Amino acid sequence: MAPEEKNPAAVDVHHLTVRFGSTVILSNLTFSIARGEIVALIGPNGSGKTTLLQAVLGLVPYEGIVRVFGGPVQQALGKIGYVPQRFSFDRTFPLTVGEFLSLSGVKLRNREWRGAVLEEVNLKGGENRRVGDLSGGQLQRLLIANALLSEPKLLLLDEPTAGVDIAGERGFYDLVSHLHRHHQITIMMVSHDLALVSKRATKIICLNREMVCFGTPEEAVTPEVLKQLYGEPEMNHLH
Amino acid sequence: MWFFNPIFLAPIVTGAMLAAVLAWLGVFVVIKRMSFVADGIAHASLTGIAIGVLWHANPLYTALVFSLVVGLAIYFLERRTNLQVDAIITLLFTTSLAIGILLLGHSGQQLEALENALFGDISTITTRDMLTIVGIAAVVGIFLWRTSKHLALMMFDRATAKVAGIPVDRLELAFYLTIVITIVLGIKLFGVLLVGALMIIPASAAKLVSRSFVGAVTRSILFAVLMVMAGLPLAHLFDLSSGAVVVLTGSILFTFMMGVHRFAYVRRP
Repeated sequence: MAPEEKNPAAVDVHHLTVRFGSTVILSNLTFSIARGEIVALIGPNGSGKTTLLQAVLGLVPYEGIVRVFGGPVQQALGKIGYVPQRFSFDRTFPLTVGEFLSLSGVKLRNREWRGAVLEEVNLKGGENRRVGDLSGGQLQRLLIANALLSEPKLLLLDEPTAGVDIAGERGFYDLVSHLHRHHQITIMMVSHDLALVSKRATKIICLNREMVCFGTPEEAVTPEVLKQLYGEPEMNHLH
Repeated sequence: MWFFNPIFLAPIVTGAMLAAVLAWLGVFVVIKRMSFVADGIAHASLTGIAIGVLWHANPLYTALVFSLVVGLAIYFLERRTNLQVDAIITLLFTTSLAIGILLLGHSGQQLEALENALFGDISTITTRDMLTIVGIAAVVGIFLWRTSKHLALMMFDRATAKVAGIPVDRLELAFYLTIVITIVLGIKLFGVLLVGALMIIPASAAKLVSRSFVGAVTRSILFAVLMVMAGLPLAHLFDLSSGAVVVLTGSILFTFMMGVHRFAYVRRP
């Protein structure tokens, strides 16, 4: 059973299984993420990383128990920020940065917060720019700004640096570390870059449809685990 | 002056109100790349019109009821099958169209009814029809005013909208039913073949010359009202088909906006 203490874990998952038709996408996962952790989900393509985030968010049907801050995710939606994998955004459509940030109708704590968020993601002064004109990295930062507006306690990021260049990627991880340090946000993120993730994450979940490892980067990511995940050692990205 | 005669002006104002909400919905339809939906629903409603003709009921109401059933079928088939929405719409609209043609073939007044349904005839509109159209257009306008931002977010990314606490399933159903109702009302004025143009042409022209979402919605509404306010008097003046003249007015407007887009909005290297 999920713990019911006064200060419950950010995310509690018990015997989680997700099936699409007869295909098992995730099998019997059990783990708990304490508040304030940065957790990286790693694994090969098709290993179920995105599906795990979607199950935590209640976006896909599942078997088992998922609790967010001690309750069903529907009760915690106001505390969650989510940045999807590929924002299926039609770049030709007219929409400004400022308009995009107002779409979810989040009631801001104060007027300054919106400016502070834009400054944090380095987009201040760009509210009148068209979203379609932003670079991949800028769009990614805008999506994070959107997720931060509701002042989430839990931030879920699905391959946040996909399509972003190396400088943008490092800038992004600096931002994540900053958010974690200054806002005490619990972060779950899907990533492919093991080297960067190992430096930034406090916990790692290795997935290959089932749980292959769970723990701190030092204890979890062993050569055996990497072989189990990615096959031959030369395919590993941990330097 | 004939233009200010209430008998002539009332249908124009009714048409302009309906065109405004069609164009507002059109912005979302264009975002969702489901421009085909307007034509599909309009064609599907032909069966509803045929039922009205056969039962000697007001075809506007029978078409509304029948098309709402088709709208619900689109919504549920999209969720319960792995078919894309365009395939579902084609399946339903061709089936409905076939039934509609067979029913009208048995009605004995098929030609006139079919012609009215296909091309619309604003001159035959009754006061009761006008009141129905204005009332429903006002309700649709209020719905869009209240839900526009959430609809936009839902169409840009469904998961983000859901996590933001937006009831996306209910909102999507409401959106589909709103499209169906508005399209069917438009058939009376502009016909099955042309009503889709009032949803797609103004929204597409507005997209060409707008940098913001509010700008796109405002211009789309403005262009649609312009199409009706210019097209209907022209049709009356030269005794032409009202739906056809309204659509061609929109096509000219769209071509002009293409020019504006080319000179003012396309980035030069």
